[in-house]
Amino acid sequence: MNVWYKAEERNPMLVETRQATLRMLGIQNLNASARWNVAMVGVVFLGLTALAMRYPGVVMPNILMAMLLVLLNFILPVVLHGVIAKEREKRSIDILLSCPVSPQQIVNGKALRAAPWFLLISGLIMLPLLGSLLARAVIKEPMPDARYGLAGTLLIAFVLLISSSAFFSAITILVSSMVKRAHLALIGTMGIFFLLYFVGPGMMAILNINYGYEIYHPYVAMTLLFEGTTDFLGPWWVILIQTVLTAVCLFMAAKNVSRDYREGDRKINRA
Amino acid sequence: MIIEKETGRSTVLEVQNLSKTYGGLNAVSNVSFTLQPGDIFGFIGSNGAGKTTTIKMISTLLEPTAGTAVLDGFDIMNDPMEVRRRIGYMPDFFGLYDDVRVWEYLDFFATIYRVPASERQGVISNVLELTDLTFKRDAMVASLSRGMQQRLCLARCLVHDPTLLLLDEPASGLDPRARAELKELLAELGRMGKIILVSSHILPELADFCTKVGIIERGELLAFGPVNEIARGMEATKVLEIRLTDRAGDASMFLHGKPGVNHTFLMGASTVKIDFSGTEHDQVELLRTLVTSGFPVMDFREQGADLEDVFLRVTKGALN
Repeated sequence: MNVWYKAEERNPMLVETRQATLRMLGIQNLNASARWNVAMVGVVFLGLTALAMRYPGVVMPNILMAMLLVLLNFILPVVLHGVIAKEREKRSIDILLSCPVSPQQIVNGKALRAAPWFLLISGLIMLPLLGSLLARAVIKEPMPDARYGLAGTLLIAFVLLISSSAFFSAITILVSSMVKRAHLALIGTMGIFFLLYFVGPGMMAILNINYGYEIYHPYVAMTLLFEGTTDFLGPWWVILIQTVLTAVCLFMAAKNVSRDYREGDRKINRA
Repeated sequence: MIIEKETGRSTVLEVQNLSKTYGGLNAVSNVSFTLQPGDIFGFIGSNGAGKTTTIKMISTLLEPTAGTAVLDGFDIMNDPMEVRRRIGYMPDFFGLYDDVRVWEYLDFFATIYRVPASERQGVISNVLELTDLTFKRDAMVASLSRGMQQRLCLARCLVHDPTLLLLDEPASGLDPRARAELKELLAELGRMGKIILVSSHILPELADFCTKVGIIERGELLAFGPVNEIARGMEATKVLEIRLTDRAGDASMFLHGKPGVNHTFLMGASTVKIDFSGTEHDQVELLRTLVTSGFPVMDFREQGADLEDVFLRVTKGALN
């Protein structure tokens, strides 16, 4: 915890992540309902893990990782869509901006609120996967083929998951910083992902352009990674592009927040 | 830090020709004033007069078009972060996070203001006690009454022990009891040595406890200082009220022609009012003469200036 408090001294906005994590885990103000929820989730995932160990072939790593990507693509925007738009909606952004934190610290701190959700979701899904892999190793059942070996492929897949989650979060926060209403931020974010991941490749297919999107599309990268059909840089291109875009989105979101400060509430009132 | 020659006290907030222009509109023009520790400054003006804009500029939320403000030697333009560390800003709306508990809300801001982790719980307990919210420590913010939410906002402003409190319309929408409690709390904070800037257009709200007032209209600060001084500055004369156990008629005749006395008015059997234009020394002499001449003086005082009168006389009722 001391390490975390030291990090909070550098960016005090990390307090949001701390509070959200403690609340999510039910550690803070643990009440009967929170205890019940935590216990239920625990029982379900231990059951799934036991099942995966009993029938290891049922759990396919490629499908599990793709599912995880889809899940994060939907859950992270739901968690983060209001982080700035809601501050504007409630007009608490003025209070935050009158505190000794910079717009960039505000945006980065809010983006990190995705971290506990990422860890929780990926952690819970990894549990049956690891159970299945362990069982296969014990009973010496053949592992699925993968270009970099199963461990290497899983590692790359996990890095891809992290960069994708960061990108999903950054896009959500950028949209949230551009609108005044939280629900608009959610609709806008989902719209962007729909265009980016479904409409874009669909249009390319119609126009018979069969290349290009695999360098930015995390779903395609994940599928090709497990199929072993991608070239050496395949997933790394996506990881690199997503990382750069994440940084750009967070920077632009901070610019949007600073503009609130420069132009005052006149701009917000006009919106 | 600036030291005022007259009082020898350190000047903590100095607002210098602060101006804000939106397009061709002067929202605030050359506003200047100085406040010291313990000052409770009532910032008075009609809606749209420029109070909130001025407060937002001092709180570093808006960039001034011209001029600046200096708090504890830190300029709002050059050292905004240092200024923010020293202010507690309460806007004219609550802006609370309603999905958290009271202590979580305060913990959040204590962290933002870099209160050391080991001291946070103590600080939260202290501000909750000061704002009389200890019993609501674990309540959800959304469940608090309006008055309690207002006190929570004030508690939030106090977690980092600021030098300056900027309170924009803090009592609007509160019931009379909540207003009275808020006044009491602000007076207590003033006694603790904080500089408090309170804006309002509800004058009785401010009249009781403000040590200084500033009247703003169309972005211009028309008057600044204690209410009595402003009133005195507006007119050449003041009204003295003298209450005697008896012989009020004789006293009225006796006071005629004394230095500074323009007119005397007999108000019933025991009160005399004087239209007075003399100096403070003349006023002292007047009381001494009355007493040494054997008049049974029970009470001798300058009639207090009414803030509402002062406001109406200073302003013209124009808006931007």
